[in-house]
Amino acid sequence: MHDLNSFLQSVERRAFRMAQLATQREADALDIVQEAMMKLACRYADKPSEEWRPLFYRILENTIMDWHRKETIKKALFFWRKERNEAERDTTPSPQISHTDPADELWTHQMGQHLLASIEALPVKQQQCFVLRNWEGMSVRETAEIMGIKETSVKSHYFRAIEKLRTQHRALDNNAQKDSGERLGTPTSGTSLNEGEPSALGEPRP
Amino acid sequence: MNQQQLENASRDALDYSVTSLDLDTQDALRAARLAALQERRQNYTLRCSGFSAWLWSAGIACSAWLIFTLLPEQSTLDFGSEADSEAEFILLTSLDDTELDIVEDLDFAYWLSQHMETATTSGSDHNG
Repeated sequence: MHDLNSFLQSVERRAFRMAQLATQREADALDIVQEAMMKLACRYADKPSEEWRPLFYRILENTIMDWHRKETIKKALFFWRKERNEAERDTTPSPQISHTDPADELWTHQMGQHLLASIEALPVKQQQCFVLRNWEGMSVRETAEIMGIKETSVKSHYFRAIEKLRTQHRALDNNAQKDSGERLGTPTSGTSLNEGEPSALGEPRP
Repeated sequence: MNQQQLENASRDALDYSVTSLDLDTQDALRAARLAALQERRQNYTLRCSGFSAWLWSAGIACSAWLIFTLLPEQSTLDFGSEADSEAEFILLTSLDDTELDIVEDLDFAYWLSQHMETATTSGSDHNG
């Protein structure tokens, strides 16, 4: 029981974040995580502890997909409530990143927010695939097992997700380029913030 | 930004977003975890009590079956076997050694009788 508690404690925040990205609603994300925890604790706690992680993420993934199916049906049935549903959506919490340089902090803050918003905007399959592969560090095979799809589909979803994020990032770069050009009063063509500028979250850019 | 950098940046952003979860959410997650563990405990207890109830029922059923089916037969068998053993004792004492050998080895006696019959049949065929 203690082991299960430790395991759930280790995954609960990340699971919540995954669910929040997928649902964009905090209350629904909490419900999804609780349901996944309940199912794991009641049905699969007797399994060896090394099987808990893939099982938990599979349950979480299924619960998220169920939520999406229900939402799709709800949207189809109550189409006139679309605007209200949109308003109900929580805004993505901005990551609290502390940096000493205000310009760097601003850039990092913007980049973090932008990336999270871009991930949030991905189609649910691409989003889950990206999060499981990139954030949870799962292999293609593990991701395919958890999502219940083929390995080639995982690769395809991941590739599409990366492409979309890259496109979004390019758009942010262009906007930032325009802004800096306007501030400095210099022409912006032919220069890029990618060169010599700090990258997202304080990483040096090549 | 190449793919590797984009992946790293996304990972960092997600990590930071997890560390920056507000206290209310953290409390809610903790409550959800405890509720799940509590549910597990209740389920386990129910399963154990269910199993013990099932075990008791099975035990009682087996005992009843033994009492009502096996034990009467066992008692009649006992009586019968006691009577049989007495009769057998009397019979064996009345037999001579050859007869006793035959009784003690009925299979051999059966085989011998068959063998004798075959021998007799073939002997009569030869004579005929």
